[in-house]
Amino acid sequence: MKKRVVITGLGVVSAVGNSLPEFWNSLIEGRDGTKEITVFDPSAYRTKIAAEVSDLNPEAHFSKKEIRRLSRCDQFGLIAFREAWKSAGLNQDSYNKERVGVVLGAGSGGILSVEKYFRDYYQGTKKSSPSLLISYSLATTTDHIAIELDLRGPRTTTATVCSSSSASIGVACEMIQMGLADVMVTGGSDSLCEVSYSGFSSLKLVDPENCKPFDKRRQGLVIGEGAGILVIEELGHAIKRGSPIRAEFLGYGICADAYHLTAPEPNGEGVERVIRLALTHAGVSPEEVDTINAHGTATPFNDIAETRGIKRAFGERAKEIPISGIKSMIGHCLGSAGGIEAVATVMTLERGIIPPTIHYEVPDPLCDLNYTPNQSIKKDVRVALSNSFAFGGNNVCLVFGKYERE
Amino acid sequence: MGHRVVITGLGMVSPIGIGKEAFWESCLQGISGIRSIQRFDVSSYRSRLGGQLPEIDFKTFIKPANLRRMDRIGKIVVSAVRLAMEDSGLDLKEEDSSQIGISIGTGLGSSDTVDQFFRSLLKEGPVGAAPLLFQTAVPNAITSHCAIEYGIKGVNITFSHKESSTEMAMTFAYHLLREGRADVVFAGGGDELSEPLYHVYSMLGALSPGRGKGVEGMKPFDRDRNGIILGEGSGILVLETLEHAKKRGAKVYAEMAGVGLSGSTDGLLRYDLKGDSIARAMFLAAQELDTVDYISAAANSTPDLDGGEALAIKKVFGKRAKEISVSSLKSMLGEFDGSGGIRACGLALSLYHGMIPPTIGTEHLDPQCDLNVVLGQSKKKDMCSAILNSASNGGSNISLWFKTYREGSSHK
Repeated sequence: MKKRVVITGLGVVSAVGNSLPEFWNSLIEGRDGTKEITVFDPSAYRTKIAAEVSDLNPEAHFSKKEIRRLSRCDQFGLIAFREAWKSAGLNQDSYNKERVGVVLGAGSGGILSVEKYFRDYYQGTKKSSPSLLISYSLATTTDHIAIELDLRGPRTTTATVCSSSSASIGVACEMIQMGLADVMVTGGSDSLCEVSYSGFSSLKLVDPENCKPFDKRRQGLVIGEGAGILVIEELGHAIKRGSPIRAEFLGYGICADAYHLTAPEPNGEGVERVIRLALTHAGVSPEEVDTINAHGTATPFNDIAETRGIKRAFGERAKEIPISGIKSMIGHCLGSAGGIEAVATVMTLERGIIPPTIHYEVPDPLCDLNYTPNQSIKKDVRVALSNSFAFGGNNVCLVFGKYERE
Repeated sequence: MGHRVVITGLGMVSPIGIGKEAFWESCLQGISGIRSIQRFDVSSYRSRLGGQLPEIDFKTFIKPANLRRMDRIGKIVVSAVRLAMEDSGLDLKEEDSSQIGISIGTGLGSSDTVDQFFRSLLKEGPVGAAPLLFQTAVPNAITSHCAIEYGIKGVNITFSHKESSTEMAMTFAYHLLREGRADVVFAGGGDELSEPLYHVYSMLGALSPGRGKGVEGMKPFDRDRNGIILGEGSGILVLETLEHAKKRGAKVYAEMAGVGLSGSTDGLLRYDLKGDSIARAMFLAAQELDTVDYISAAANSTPDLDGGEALAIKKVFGKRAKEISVSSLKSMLGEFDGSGGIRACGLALSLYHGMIPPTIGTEHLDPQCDLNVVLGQSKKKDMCSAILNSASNGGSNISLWFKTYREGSSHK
């Protein structure tokens, strides 16, 4: 018997807001978080922009000693986690710490710290602190969160980069399904670093102006950063402690294109397959889907493949489903993209507002669906999907639903 | 109550042998894969040793045209998948590719590629950033290589959580198979011994002989143990629902029958010091504790983990702890995040053949680790079931429970 899993806590750090209310307001107002890069010197690059997190005052959250030990990625993750945990209202009497686990998705993780160490090491200019190397493992942020509140349940980190934190939500849900946990902290955190920036840049996948998903003028992604953390919980556990329930996690799909290391399968077969897998797992029919939070990276090929996949999965009805490409505002947050977008999807269900795809002006005949251009819309949403696709054709689709008592 | 999950194929690329036969022969004879590091210069370090793979002609396993896009760790894991597939007799052309999955764990995957990419970037600026290196540098590239090489279109996931990465990959595969969401999943993982990784471990003080006066060596549960020796390699299991295995008349090595996951919180680089969490993982995994005859230990020659694991085993099994054979294959392979796949292959062979490989290198059993450790020579023992332990620094502890396969015996 499948257990019902609900979302009881949300936390977020992003280029458009460092708390859930700020983030959500920015999304529905269509605010773009893209700005000039400050975390490293971008002057030698063709493009100099990213959706960078700003106005985050680490001193307000951590001691000086902690700041030295925590990577930028750890800081985002912990701040979002604290917000999510607080909003879930879990106090020490209401849970068994052995049955609360953490599964996060990672991208480049704390590589900004590792970069700093190796820059000094290879250039031989000065000796860097080995403590920067603690971030060498992608598991570091996950472990920090578990250790902060002594959470002793199942713990792991998914590493499929652009789909990592969507995969992590699926894996976290399985921990509850397997009876190993009552509550799971999930989602992901990632920070800008020169390695990933230069990598995407070398593949000519970065737009020099802004991110324009599904628009004919799109030239690629804008890299973002941040953290999106969800507290998910077995329904009975949430009810017993009288927690407010924000939405239900109905199921997910995960599969591979098995096509190419970076390019998506062009006909959208992999996208179709993952959507179908997700709907089957969730027990939802294609007719019930009210909105889709797209992967929508604004790379020329991704948006076409995703559009084709959605059309293959939904047929004629595809045109009626409002699709939201929020990477136009928060950038592509890589390891935390799926987590942040899952937070947005849950808010869409809760508030009945679908955030827009901004910078949408020139339609592309190959992307001919309803992308919610430039203005958010009000709609009673009962079932929402969130797509994430990664290099190598690692596809994940999450299905969230409005919580209804049965 | 869910499908039974069985192990029908084993593929290992290890410091003590490529392929099942060579690997098992070395295990039984207690041959060490640890020797002086040759692939890069270690003269500036206090440590010299590594569990290293021999030179491998990857063309034996991978189409030459496809070799070009893979880095070394990619080739290692893709080869292990090939070996596992051939061993299982599975013909993917006969299968529904969407029902075949892959679940891989790796601690630091393409660390060498990331390093090459970064050095070139440092030297030449943005023009030095090599797109071909970047696309193989992501941790899931390994898994993608396998999916592309063999047309595996079902479940595809990569885990990276230190020393429990591969055990998580097997856990996830097991669960999906139990629920019938795949017919076959290639599960396991691997890591390579690279210079940057070696540097990081050394700077964090994890390598034997540490800062003391001791002798460098991998000696799990020994009173003189003083840190790890890094190893490398990949191990892949073909995990399959029993129905599917029977339908195609597959040979079954063992049954995978349970998983346990638990977290400890002693510190970011600390293992489970008191053993409570490792104990809980074993307790959750092995639903019939009284049938456990053997534990393939996580013990990695560090004072903390070996001590913690010994405490855990005593907590779970009490007086019976002395009857349970314990061995750490890391004594032959070295320690690496993705070692779980190879160790799981070894455990399946132990159950199948009724033989337990020795813990080599250990001479003076630490009185605090007073377990029934198989020392010196391999040991013949008919077994009902066994546990594979893993424990990460930082605190993700995963135990897997394997049973000797018997037709008809029902799964609880």
